[in-house]
Amino acid sequence: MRVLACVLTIVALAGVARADDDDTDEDGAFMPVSKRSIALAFGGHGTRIGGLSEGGVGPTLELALGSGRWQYFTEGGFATSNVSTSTANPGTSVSGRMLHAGGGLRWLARQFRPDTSGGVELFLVSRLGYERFYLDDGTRLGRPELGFGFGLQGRLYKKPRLAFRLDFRALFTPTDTDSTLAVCRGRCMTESANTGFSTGIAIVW
Amino acid sequence: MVKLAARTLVALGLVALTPVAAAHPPPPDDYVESEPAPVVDTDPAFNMFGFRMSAGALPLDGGRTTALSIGLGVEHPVFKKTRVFGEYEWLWLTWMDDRALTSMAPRPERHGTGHRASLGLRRELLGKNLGRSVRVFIDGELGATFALVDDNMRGVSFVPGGLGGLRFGYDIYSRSDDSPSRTFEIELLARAVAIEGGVGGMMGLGMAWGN
Repeated sequence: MRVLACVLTIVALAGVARADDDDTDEDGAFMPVSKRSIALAFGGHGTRIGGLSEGGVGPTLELALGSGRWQYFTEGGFATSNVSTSTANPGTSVSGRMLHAGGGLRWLARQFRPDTSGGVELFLVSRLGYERFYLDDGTRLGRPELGFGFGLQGRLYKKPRLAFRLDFRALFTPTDTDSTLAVCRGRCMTESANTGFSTGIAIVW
Repeated sequence: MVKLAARTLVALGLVALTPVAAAHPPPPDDYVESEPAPVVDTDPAFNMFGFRMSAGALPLDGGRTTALSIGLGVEHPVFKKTRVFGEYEWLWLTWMDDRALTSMAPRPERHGTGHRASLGLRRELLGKNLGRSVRVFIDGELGATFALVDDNMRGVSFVPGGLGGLRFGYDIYSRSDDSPSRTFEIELLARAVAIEGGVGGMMGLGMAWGN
């Protein structure tokens, strides 16, 4: 009886092992993301404030935890901010700073491995965060931010396990109220929604 | 007890016979199985998934509009060298206001965003293999676009149109059998977009993964 039990156990385990090695298990074919990683990025963004174009550049620091094809990250950074206040003279702008922080998910959608040492990957990303503007004319504006995007990542699977990442996101924020924006000076227009974009390059370790 | 002893003997006998069977394979007969010819897939077709970033100009409402776009796309081979593609693009639009350049008074900026879906066919016009792992190509494309544009002056509008263009690029094929994506494609796109009000153009850089 013990022998039979052992045999049945072995057979059962063998079946499970075969199932795990099945080629149809797509996740298993992917080289998983790093369990822990840190990224330093430099990027640019473009948004609207009260109907006026705003843009800037700056660094971002990201900390991430990975599991399989998923990565959970938190990030924060600062950037310059320039709001164009006149279409007659595009050089006229109000400058300032923008701080932002948030967290999100990244999913490894595709992975191309020319050989065993590394690969080129496509990921999709979503992010929920908060951004706050400090403009030199006294405007103080804080607003939540929702972002969706994708990116390209070249990654080494062996030490030093570095990656180079390009990132593109579309940003959505609630509509600003003109009363809070000194920068508008009566010229801001109401929009149904504020949208923008951000892009950046990052070194990941 | 006797049964147990008999089973044990049978089991031992089977175990003992196993190496003997391995040591004495059956004699070969006259039939010689030839090695199968290696399958060389010189024109592989893949389902593709990737992204593109583009910039250009569109004659929205008859005006000059600068358009930046980022988007995702899928492709599926339908014929030997023809693929059907579907794309989604998010558009960032800024209208050029010529009157603002000569106006003394500040003029409001007209801008907007849009969501554009495209459906079409692309076909290889020219292609050449460079070694076993790289193929360069020039493809032509034709299709239709449907956009929802939301600008700060006129609100939401539906903008249908047609597209035609050329794609220049190359495919890299993986030597690793366990690569989830067997090919990686990089392409430059030059696309004309015809909408009500005229014809615009977009230039873009795209990358796609195939499996």
